[in-house]
Amino acid sequence: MKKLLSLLKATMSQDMNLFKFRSKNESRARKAVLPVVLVLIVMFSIGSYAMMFAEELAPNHLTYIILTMFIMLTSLLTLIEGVYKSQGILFEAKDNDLLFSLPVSKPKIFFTRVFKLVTFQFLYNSLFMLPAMIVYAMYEKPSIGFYFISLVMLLLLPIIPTIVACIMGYMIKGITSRFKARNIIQVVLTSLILLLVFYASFNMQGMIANITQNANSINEVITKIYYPAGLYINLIQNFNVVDLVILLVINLVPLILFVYIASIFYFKIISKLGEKGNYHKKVGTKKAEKTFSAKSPLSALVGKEMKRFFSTPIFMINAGFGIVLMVAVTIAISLNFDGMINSMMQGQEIEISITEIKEMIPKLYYGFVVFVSCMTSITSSMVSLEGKSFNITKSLPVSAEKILLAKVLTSNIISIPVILVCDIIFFIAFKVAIVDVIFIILASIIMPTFTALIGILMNLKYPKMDATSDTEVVKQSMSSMVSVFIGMFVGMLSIAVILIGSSINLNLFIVLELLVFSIVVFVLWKVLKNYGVKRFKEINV
Amino acid sequence: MIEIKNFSKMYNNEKKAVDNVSLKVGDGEIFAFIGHNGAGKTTTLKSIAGILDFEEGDIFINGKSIKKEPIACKMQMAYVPDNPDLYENMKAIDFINFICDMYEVSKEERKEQIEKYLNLFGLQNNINDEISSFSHGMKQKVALIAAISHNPKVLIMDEPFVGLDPKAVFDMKEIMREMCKEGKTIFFSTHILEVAEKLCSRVAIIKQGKIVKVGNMEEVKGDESLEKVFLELDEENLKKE
Repeated sequence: MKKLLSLLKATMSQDMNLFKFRSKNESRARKAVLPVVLVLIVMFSIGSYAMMFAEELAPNHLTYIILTMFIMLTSLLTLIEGVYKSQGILFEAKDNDLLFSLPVSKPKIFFTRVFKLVTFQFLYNSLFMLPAMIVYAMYEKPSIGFYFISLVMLLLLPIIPTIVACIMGYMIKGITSRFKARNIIQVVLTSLILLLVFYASFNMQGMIANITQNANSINEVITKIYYPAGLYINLIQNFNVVDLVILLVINLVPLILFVYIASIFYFKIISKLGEKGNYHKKVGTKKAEKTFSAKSPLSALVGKEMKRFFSTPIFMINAGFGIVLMVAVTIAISLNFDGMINSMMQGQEIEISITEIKEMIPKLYYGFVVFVSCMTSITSSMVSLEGKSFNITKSLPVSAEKILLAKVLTSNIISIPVILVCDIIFFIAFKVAIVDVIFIILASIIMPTFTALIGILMNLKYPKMDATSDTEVVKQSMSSMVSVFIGMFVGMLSIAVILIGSSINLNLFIVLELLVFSIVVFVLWKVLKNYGVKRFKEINV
Repeated sequence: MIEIKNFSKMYNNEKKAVDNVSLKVGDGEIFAFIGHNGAGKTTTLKSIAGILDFEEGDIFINGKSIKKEPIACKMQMAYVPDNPDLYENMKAIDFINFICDMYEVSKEERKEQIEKYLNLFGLQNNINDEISSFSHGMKQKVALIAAISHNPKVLIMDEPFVGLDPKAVFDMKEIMREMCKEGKTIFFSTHILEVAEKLCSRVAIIKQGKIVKVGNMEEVKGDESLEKVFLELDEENLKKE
C-alpha cells in the first residue's frame, strides 16, 4: 500500500502542478486568473441552464431530474473523452521504462494510470455536476445527507464510464499493436467508435427532450438505462445503507476487476508498441537521392508541424474529430435531410415543417461551422508537444515569429480546406442563397484562424513542456482546456443566438460577428507578434 | 569567434546560475568547458546558441550580438544539445533535411555533406527510419550530422560524446580537428577530461557559475593531468567553503 501511495504521489505530482499557483510567485498567480475566470463562467452558464429546468420542475418536486440529466451527460462526456484519452495515458506514457524497472506489481502500475484518468475526469465532471447540485440544493433545501451522498457520487461518477472507455481504448491499442500502420488504424478505429457513440446519443435526443413533459416516467427510464443514477436519487431522497453499499460496490468492484484483468496483457501490448519502427529496418528500400530536396524555411517548418500532427493519433483524433464530425454531418444531411429531421422530431411535440427547417438550415449550418471551427483547436498543444526538442527549434536561424506563423498556418491548412469542401457539398445540396454562401465561407476562414491564434497564444502562456505523454498535453494541459473553454463559449454563443434569433435580424448578427472576429484575428496576430514572441523566448526547457 | 562579455544568467530571479563570465574563443580553436553537474555549463552553452535569454552582459558570434542579431548569429553556428531530444516522429533524413532547410543549404551541397557524414557514422542504411526507433547513440549521431551538414563556422556542443560508440567518438574528434584546421570555432562541454586534454587547445573550468580557471591547456594543467587539476581545484574550493 505504501508503494502504491508513493507511486500515485509521484505520478500525480507533475499533473497537479497545473493547479499550483503559489501566491509568493506573482506571475504564476496572475496566470491563474484567466483559467479561474473561464471555469467560473462555464460553471455559471451550466448553473443558469440547470436553473431554467429547475424553474419548471421545482413546483412539482421533480428537481432531482436535473441531477439525473447531468449524470447522464457527464457519463457520456467521460465515455467520449476516455476512449482516446485512455489510449495515451495507459499506453504512451514516457515514464513506462522507469516504472516497469521498479519492483512494483503490474496491477499497481496499471492502477496509477487508471487513477490518473479518473482523477482528471472527476475534476472535469465537477464543472458540470457542482452547478447542478447547487441548483438542486437551492430549490429543494435538502438535509446534510444530500451533501455527503453527492460528494460520494461525484467521486464515483467517472469510474464506470472510464472503465468502459478504457476497455475500448485497451482493445483499440491491443488490435493496433499487431499492425505496421498502427497510427492510421488507431485513428480510424477511434473515430468509428466516437461516431457510433455520437450516433447513439443523437438518437436519444427525442427522449431527453421529453423529460420535462413526462418527468416521472422518464426518470425511471433513465434509471433503467444507468442504474447508479437511480441509486443516487434514491439515496438523496430516502437514505439507506444498503443502497449506499450497492452504489459503492457497483462502482468499485468493476474497477478492481478491470485493473487486475487488464494488467495481465498490459505489458505485452506496451512491449509490442515499443517495437515501433522495426519494420522500417529493411534497409535500402528507398533511394536516398529522392529525399535531398530543398524547401524554404517556412514550408519546412510547416512540413515539420504537419508530420507531428499526422504521426500522433491522439493529437489527430482530439483536434480533428470536430472536422470528422462535420464531414459526417454534412454528408448525412445532404444525402438524407428529410429522414434525419423526421427521426429527430419523433416523439416531440414541436410543430414545425421540414420546409420551415430547410429555410433555417443555412443559418444553422453557419452556426455549426462556427462551432466546429472554434472547437478545432490544433495549435493549443503545438508548443507543448515539442517537449525537450523545443531547444532545437529555438536554436534554429529563423525568427520566432516565423516559427509561430508556421504553427498557425499548419492548423489552417488542416482545417480550412476540409471545412470549405463541406461547405460546397452543403451549398450544392441545399441551393443556399448567395448571402448565406458568403457568410459561411467567411466563417470557414475567419473562425479557424481565430481558434488557431487563440490556441497558440494560450499554449505560449501555459506551456507544458515536461509532459509524460502526448495525451497529457493534448487533453490535460491548461492551454488545451482554456482554449476549449474559449472555443466552447464563442461557438455556443453563436448557436444560441441563431436558435433564439427569430425576433432579431440574424443577417445583421452574422455580419457583426464576422466583423468583430476579423478585428479580433487582426489584434490577436499583433499580440502574437509581440507578446507571443516574447513568451516563446522566455520558455525554458 | 565567440566572445562572451560579463555574461550572467539568473533563473526565476533567484540565485545566479552563471555569474559574470567573460571568455573569448578564437577562430581555429577547440575550447573545452568543464565543470561539475549544475556548474553553469549548459546555461552558458544554451545562451551562446540563442536558446536562453539573459539579462546581463552580451555574447558575440563573429562580432555579432546574439541579443541584437540572433538570426545572423544562428546562421553561422550549430548547436548540439546534451540530450538528443530531436523531432522523434521524423525520419532521420527528414530531420537532417529540415535543419538544412533552415540554414538554406542548396540541394547539391547538402547531398554531398549528408552522404559524407552518413557514411562516416554508419547511418546510411537507417536514413529512412523514424528517429523514435533509434538508440541514444544513433540519435546523437543524427544530431551531429544535422549540426555539421550546413558547414557552420561556430560549433557549440553540450556533452557531444555521450552515448557514442568508440568509432564514432574517434570520427567526431577527427571532424573537430578538421574543422579547427579550416579556422572554425568549436566550443563544447565535457566530463571526459582525457578527451578535453588531448583534443583542445584551450580550456575553462566553471564552478558555481564562475570561471575558476581559463587558459591554454598547457597553462591550466602544467605538468599534471587535467583530471588532477580539476580535482585539486575542487578540493581548494571545498576548503574555502
